[in-house]
Amino acid sequence: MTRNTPPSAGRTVGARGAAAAVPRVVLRPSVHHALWAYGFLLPALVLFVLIVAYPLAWAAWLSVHDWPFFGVKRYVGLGNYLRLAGDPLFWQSLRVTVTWTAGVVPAILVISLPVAVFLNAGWIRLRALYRTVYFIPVITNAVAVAFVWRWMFDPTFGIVNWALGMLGLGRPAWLADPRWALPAVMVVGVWKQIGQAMVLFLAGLQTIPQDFVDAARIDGASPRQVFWKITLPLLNPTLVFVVVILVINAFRVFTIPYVMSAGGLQARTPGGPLDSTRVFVLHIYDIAFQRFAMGYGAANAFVLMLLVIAVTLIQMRLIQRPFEY
Amino acid sequence: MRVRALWILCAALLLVAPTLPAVAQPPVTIVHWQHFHEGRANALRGLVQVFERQNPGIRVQTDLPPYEQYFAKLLSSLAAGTGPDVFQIAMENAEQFINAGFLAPVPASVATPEFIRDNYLSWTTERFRRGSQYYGLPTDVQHLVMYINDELAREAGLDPAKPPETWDDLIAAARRATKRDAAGNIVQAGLDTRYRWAVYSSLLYQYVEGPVIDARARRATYDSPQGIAAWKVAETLLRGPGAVDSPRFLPGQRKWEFRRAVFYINHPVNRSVIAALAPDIKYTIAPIPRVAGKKLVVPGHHWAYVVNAKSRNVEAAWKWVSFLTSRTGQRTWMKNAGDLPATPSLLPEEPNAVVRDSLRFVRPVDYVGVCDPIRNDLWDAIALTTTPVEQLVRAAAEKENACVAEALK
Repeated sequence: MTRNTPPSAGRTVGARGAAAAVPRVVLRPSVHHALWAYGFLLPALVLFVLIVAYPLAWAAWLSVHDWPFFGVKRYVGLGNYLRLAGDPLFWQSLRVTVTWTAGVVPAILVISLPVAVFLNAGWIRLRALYRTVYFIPVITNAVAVAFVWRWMFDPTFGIVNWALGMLGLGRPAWLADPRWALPAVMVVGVWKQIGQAMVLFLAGLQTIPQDFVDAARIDGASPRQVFWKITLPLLNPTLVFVVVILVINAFRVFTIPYVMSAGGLQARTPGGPLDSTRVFVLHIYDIAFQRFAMGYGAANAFVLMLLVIAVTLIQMRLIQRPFEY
Repeated sequence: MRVRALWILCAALLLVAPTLPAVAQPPVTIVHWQHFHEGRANALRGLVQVFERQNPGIRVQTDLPPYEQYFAKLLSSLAAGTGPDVFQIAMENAEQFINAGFLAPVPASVATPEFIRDNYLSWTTERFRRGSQYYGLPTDVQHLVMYINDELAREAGLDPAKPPETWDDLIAAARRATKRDAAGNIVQAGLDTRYRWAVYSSLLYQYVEGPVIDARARRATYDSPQGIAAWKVAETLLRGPGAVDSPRFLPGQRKWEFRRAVFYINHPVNRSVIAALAPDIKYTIAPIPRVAGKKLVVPGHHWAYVVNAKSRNVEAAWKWVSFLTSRTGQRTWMKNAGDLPATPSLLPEEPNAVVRDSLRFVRPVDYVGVCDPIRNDLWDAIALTTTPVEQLVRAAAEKENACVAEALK
């Protein structure tokens, strides 16, 4: 790379014998800066191409091919995408994923926001302890947690049914019952993510200027009014971020349903009983790595990606509110 | 003087050179994959040690993924061209792997077709044969037997020495042994049906007289009247107040090994699981029940060790497979894992008379491809829904037809 120097400066170097014959490239400052910038970006760009762009392009290419692992690849155009419409398992997994999202995301919001507001209050003692307790599920290994919950939900000897029995309530078969398996797994999904949303809300709450809250109180606003008229509107950017992250997580959920519905010499992909916990990523895994239809699996994965993008854009459109301090 | 010494040294090196590569050559490493099984894992470790001692130039590196992930890992690696040198596949996968060109044929230097024909039970090699060429050697040879927890059986007023002989007998005995709580929930199963495959295969291969899966016609026949009759027995076992087990009872858990079930249909290899997990259980092994008025039929199943067609160490790989399936290898599997021998002359070494005798009644399963999940789901649907069995069976058979056609295309 050549330094950006005025033409006159180039002549002093050019005066040295043979080197004078080589014309010097003089770059404008903007080009010079851009080259440096791209130079620094290059390592990240190479990584991005290698681990994101190339696999994505490969998956897109695969999605228009029929490739059973046991056979040769065959171009089928949009055949795999058209096949989705008539596949009951696709619709079942979509139904389960939407149910999961519609249940888990609002539940996390409804629990984590009040907890964050509570833990943000000045009068709370042992605040650090509470924050740690709520955050522990986030850092706990998902597989281990799912196993423990599986035992807790055991219909005959699990602690959940024991507690329900003590209260005189019914004892569902939970993970062994197609009607109750998904709610049971969703409980774990909520429990696991409350801490993460809470921490994000806490960070958001601490960016709200205290002056606004004080001014509202001086004007006679009740705590409820402060929350609804000051806190919540000013928390909107955090709320949007949390909702978007939670919805993306919900569409990509895999580990908890996989582990909680696995086991028992089923010789099948988890997601049972009777596909009642077959979330979309489990469906993709089943198609691609258990039924070995890689092309069709890739088409399903692309549909999931498009769904996530579409849902994210719609959410941002619906809940994002522009404001200025 | 120095030049002469140099010449002498060069001449000496030339003389010694032919022996040098053998000394300096690094050992060949064979990568071996098979799915994890409590009993077979220990046996394999022992076999690796013996083989490496006998073959100092070959190292065996084993990987035992859980069954649930085994085929996903295996096929991904084979498709990527990075598969293991040696791996095991089930008999129902033979056609797909051979047709896909994934397998190297057994070289005559390891075993001639005549040797294979003469030394192994024919049903344990047949699915791996194309013409006169074989593509795998048998391992994990299994049929089905019935385990009875002696103590729990006596508690229920049953005599383990007089096991139920027919399905009707078993249903009656299992009902006596099933315990329920005040709300009617099962707290002790009469028959542990966790291993669905074992129970429905025992039924299907006894009730259906022709093929259960007709590979030529590429269709499942278990929606025939005989097949429906078999699934109706499953309904009796699983539905209503007379059910002897339920997927709702200890879902996914080893009920029998946890002393929560009296009868259990499984392979002889389960003896090693019991030895590892519940060594204190006193149990009796009985033949599986038969259909009243008919002779006993026992479903037989096996896996095979095969060599990756793309292996760079085919010769060493087959040497390892040959050792695993040799008489020494089979004795180790029999003793440590509870497997059956593939070589008939080793059968007298099987200590259990029922296990030994049941082999005479074996009818090898004719399942094709990765279609077990369809039948397992059918089992669950019978247990967990009230949909008429005929309707469920027909829907499952249709799915299996598509699965078989896909596997054989």
